[in-house]
Amino acid sequence: MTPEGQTRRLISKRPKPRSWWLLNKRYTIYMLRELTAIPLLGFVLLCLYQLIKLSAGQSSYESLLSAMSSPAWILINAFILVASILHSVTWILLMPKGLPEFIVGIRVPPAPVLFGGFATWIAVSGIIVTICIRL
Amino acid sequence: MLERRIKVNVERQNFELQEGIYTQSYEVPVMDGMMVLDALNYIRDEIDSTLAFRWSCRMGICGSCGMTVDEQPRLTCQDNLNEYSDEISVAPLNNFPVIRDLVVDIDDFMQKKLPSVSPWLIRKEEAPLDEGEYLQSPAEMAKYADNSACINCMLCYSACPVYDMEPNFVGPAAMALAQRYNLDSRDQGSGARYSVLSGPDALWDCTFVGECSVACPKGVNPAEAIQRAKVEAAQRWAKSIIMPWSQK
Amino acid sequence: MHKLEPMWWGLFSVGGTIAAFLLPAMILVVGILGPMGIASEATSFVRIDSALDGLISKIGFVVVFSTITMHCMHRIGALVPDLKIPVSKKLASAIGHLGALIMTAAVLVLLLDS
Ligand code: SF4
Ligand code: FES
Repeated sequence: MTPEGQTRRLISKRPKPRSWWLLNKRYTIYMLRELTAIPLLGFVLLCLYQLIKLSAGQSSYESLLSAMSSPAWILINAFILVASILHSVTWILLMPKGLPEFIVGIRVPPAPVLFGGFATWIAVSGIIVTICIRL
Repeated sequence: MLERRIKVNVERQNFELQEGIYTQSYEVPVMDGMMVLDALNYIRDEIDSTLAFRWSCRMGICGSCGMTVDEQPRLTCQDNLNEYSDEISVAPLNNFPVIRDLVVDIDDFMQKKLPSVSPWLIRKEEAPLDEGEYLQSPAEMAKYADNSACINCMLCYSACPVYDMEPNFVGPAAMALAQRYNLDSRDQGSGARYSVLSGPDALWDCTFVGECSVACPKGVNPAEAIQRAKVEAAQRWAKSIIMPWSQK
Repeated sequence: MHKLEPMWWGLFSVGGTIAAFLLPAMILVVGILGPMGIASEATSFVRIDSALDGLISKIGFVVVFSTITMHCMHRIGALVPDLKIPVSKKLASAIGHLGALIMTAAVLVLLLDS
């Protein structure tokens, strides 16, 4: 007990676990969204490495290429692909909040922005992949 | 009609009764339409007069009854017990220092954060009285109307992980209110507000978790307001680099 | 340092947008279809080498690469407090931005070389 007349304020916040992002599913999705940056960085580093190999000459680049056709590499890249799709989906879902105002200066309802975003993404991806396969 | 009884597990902090954080359970008879706050009032009136919590209006407008119910930030006077099972947990709001039981300390917001964004109309020069009111069209009002519904209940801060980790973070409601005035056609003070918003512990610390907008009981959308403010602040910054002379 | 925050955020956003629209397709080609032989032409030495020859494509590559890198590093910096890793938030984000700048510089050097 504190002496009469004296108030003691408790200053403890409710304790929050380090795994706070498991507390509800929106937090979890948020955390997964942010974590996509790590595999994406992996791909960026791979590109950098490819560039180094490229400038070292044809044979060194091609040895990397053949290494990359191993199942382990394909699996890693498939994982990165999943992360990047998660990034695209979550990024496009957030686009209605802020981006259109930047372009046209007024508020736009979310539906057309979402539709436009996903349609563009799918179209662009389709074109890139088709061209690369047809080359 | 069969009477429904629920068990209310209250997370308490009252050093005069017991040290530390502890949970106390109460049995409360509920009638149709009772809110979580009504259950707490029943407990205090009929079972345990030492239980401390804040409330006033019971109609979702004073903003004083925010608590954590079943681990979600809720405005308890608007939180119908019909939507819960027969056992609920009630705890103080997350991320705030607790004064006692369910009462948290929001002085920091009231005395520092809220005033820091000048949440009032700023005019460079007041028009003389005989010119009449400042007129505003419904379309101009619609630009900020959502953001003006805030009742300072702090549910958004309680939901915000950035605020949890950085107590100085200006936070969702204060930034949404800054936008409320920035977007008002009668206001001329956005420059001063943007220098706060673009400063430390404000816009650029927000990682767009979005949970503030889910938590808000009044339909304010702080996450979106902040996002739009970021876009605007970035444009202002770019303009100040490209055209330094445009600075007023 | 605070003056630069809007710039980091702007680059983060541009990079995030570019990554959202281009990366899945690029990863599919470079990481999976190419090595599996379905789009082997697209990832062949001759193709890539000649594609990176022109000035325009070099600039394009640098823009895409640097903004996406900045996007990733900015986010990873912000993950440090989110994961409650006991490193100062400012330090984490400074290291992130610096890292992205270094990687961009490396790409510039490599491209100028080739
Ligand atoms: S923005 Fe909403 S949740 Fe936040 S204090 Fe205002 S009314 Fe409460
Ligand atoms: S008691 Fe006033 S908002 Fe709940």
